[in-house]
Amino acid sequence: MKILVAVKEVAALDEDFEIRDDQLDVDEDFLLYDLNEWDDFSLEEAMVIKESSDTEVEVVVVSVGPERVDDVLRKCLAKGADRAIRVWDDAMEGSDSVTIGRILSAVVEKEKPDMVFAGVQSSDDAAGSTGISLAASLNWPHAAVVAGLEYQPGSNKAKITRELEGGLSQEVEIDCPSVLTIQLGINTPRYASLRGIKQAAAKPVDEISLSDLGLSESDVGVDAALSRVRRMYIPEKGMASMIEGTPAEQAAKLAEIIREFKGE
Amino acid sequence: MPMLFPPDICLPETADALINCAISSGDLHSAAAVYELAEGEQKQQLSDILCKERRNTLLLARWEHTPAAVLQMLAEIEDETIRLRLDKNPASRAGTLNTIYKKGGHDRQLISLLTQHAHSSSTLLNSLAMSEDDIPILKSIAAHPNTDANTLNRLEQRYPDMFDNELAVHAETPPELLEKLYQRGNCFIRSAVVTHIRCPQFLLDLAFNETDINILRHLAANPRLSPEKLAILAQHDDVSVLRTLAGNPSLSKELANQMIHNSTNIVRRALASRTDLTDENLQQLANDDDHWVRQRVARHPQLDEMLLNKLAQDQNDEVRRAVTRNPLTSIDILRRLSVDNSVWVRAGVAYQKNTPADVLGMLSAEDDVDVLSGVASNANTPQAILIRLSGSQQTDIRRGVIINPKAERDTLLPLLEDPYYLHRLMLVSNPSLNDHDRWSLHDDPDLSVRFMVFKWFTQKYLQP
Repeated sequence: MKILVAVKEVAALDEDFEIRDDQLDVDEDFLLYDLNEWDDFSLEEAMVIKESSDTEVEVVVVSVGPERVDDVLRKCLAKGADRAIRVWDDAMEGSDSVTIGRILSAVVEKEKPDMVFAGVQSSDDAAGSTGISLAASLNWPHAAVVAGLEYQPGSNKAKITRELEGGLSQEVEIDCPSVLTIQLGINTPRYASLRGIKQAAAKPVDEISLSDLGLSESDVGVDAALSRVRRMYIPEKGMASMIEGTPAEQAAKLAEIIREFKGE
Repeated sequence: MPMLFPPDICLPETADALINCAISSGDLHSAAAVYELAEGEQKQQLSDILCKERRNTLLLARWEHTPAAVLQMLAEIEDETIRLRLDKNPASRAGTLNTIYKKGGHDRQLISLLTQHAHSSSTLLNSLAMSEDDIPILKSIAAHPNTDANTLNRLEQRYPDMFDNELAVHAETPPELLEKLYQRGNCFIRSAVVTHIRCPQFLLDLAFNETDINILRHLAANPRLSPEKLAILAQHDDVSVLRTLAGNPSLSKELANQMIHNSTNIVRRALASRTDLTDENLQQLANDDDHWVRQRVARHPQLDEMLLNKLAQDQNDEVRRAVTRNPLTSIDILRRLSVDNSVWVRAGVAYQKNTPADVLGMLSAEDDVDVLSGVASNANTPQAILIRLSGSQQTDIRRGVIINPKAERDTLLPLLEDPYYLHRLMLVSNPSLNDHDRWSLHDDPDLSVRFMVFKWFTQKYLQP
């Protein structure tokens, strides 16, 4: 039995960042890269299923990106994933989430997993659509914002709890194989052991190209994307008003503001 | 001596060897750690590593652990963004700030940050106070702890009234200026003046005739107030004045005794925190209706056995826990509280340094994280239990073992492979480990751990 977990290396903004000259993205010197937080939870969910199953479960992580993405894939291997796949071709640069979903669906066709997990969204682009695009490309059942999962490896059904607004939960039965986008808090992701990290450094990452997936350059990249970035900029911000005065005066003003908010 | 890692990892025996190790690794954080140790060619090689890519210099300029010598080196780079980061970095020393001021002194944001940086020198601040006209910048200078009295006076002369809030609370404001502020200030300014350590006595006497509650409350906190005036304030009907008076170190025992009968909880709570209470006061407060009062009494450093015993049976678990935290609490009481029905109380027993080993052994059978963390960090816990706890799935429990002053080397060695980087980082400076143990972390996957290892050895080789 195989679970495929789609992961992403996301970029976090360092402080005092600068926008690139072409105004399409942040200057790379100010980006800090790490595993997408949501994907940490999806990987952990796959690992929990693997470790509690009586049958053998293979957990395979896959990511679309250039060589530096190997870092997050090795992090996943260090946490117990069995294999890691990286898909890249320079032609993929500029692919939007729908295009990435299409690329990942080609990986699914190749790997033939029994379940696919992805994060609800990524912390950088926050499109929230890669997992769903993947499901649409596959024409598979899918469920989004999965906050609870009951699944026996090999079963053709899974019971899911979805997190809705207002503190509501929705229980759903879904046919398998399916694509699930996993929400934060579904579990407690493990730290990678030191031994695991050192062993993962020596493990191979399978690199897959366009042709390995039966895709061409016209299927990926900026021209295949359904959306394109026009401009990225830092919007004007309003100034917060400062409470002036000695500490006693500031405390008195703050107390007045609080009373006002409370309608007293 | 048993070693956890293969013996082919060479421990650098000299400063030179340490530096060469950092250079050959090419690792940014190792290079930063040893930079201050190096000279000449080695220093240049380290600079090459540190400055090889702009993203690395940006990272180092922002990182709060970057050594001061590296920050000084980065200040020489012509890069406005790096200068801004250095200006914000709390580790930047006065020399670095002077350098970035000389290089980027036209930049308003840079200057604004300089006037707020803790390490800005009084010379720099004085120079800015005389040359700047920007009010927010001058306000920052007026508020800066390193600004000297002369500069404060000059600021007040340049802009009377403008910086009264800052001047009224500044530790260096001279008495003559405080008098000026008092005479023209509002009630908040006058409140701040009467709290000031340099407030002239005659101003305290003048303030005593005020009716504004803010002023009287601040006055009530001043230990220089005479016993007669304290006694008059003790009759005040405002509870905030009384509450503040209750904490005044000059309050006499007689006045404290009177105030104990006050009907307001917050006044009695403040009194209960005093360390000079009589036995009679403590007895009375130990029977107080308010559990916060009883809780503070339970922590009293001179509480007798009888009252500790009484409070150990209090219906409120916060009070019982406070008893467990009192160093005077007897072992008999600790034993009784070790089977308390509140886990918070039992955790308090686990943390208590006087708790005997057999009680800790009993508590180690629990599964509550707070209790086990207390057992793990307690110096009286037997080593066999520490070894067991060092394998816990809970990070808090393992960390308790790491900070335990009696944890032996053999207990700690397996934790050198702890999955949580902070634990490995903490172990670098643990005195129970030897240099070989520390050095085994020199190629740790976490940059902070690698930095800490190289920094530890740098400090060692910097010793005369």
